[in-house]
Amino acid sequence: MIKEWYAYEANTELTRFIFTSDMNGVKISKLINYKLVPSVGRNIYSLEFGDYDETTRSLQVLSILNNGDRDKILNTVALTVLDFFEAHPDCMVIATGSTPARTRLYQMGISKNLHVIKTNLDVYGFTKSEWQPFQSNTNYEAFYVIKTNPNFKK
Amino acid sequence: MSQNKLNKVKHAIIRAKVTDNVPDLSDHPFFVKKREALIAFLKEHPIPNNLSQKK
Repeated sequence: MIKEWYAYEANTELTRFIFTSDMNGVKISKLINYKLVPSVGRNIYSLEFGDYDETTRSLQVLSILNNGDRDKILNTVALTVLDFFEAHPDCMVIATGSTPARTRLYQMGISKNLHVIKTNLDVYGFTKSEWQPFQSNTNYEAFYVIKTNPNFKK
Repeated sequence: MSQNKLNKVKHAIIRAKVTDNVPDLSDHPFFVKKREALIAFLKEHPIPNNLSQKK
């Protein structure tokens, strides 16, 4: 069970999400996109994450998850994945970090919330030149998630 | 999203508060570049069909 997460908002299609990280008075808006990537197949979405500057209405590309609430942020991202699949059950979500450190962070978030994610989703990771079912304590370069027993077709 | 689909979604367990306030930055160069890298990665390492279809 996920214990802590931030309340978040979403657009009607449940493909964009936003929440505010709030630690010790420091507030940072976090934006999550699920963007369709038609050039690699039908119904494949890329998970994209970044800090949003409310003042300039732009993305802060050099964000670092160091506000002291990393796990709470990762929990929140995991919940948006679940919400996305409620609206898009026949799709696939692929995620990889913009840096190896960020990919590792996503991996930690998946491992930590695997018991919740796997209630109705299957997770796979790419390692050593192959895609395989996600296992904790394995280093992956990328991940994808689909609904268990999906109607997904590439 | 069609009204029929939206009605189905409403009955699912959605934790998000649905609003019109979520900015759309999906065309930001950072995201575009990341997506292009992902496309290149998937072309080099395609997902096998048996890992993406119904079990």
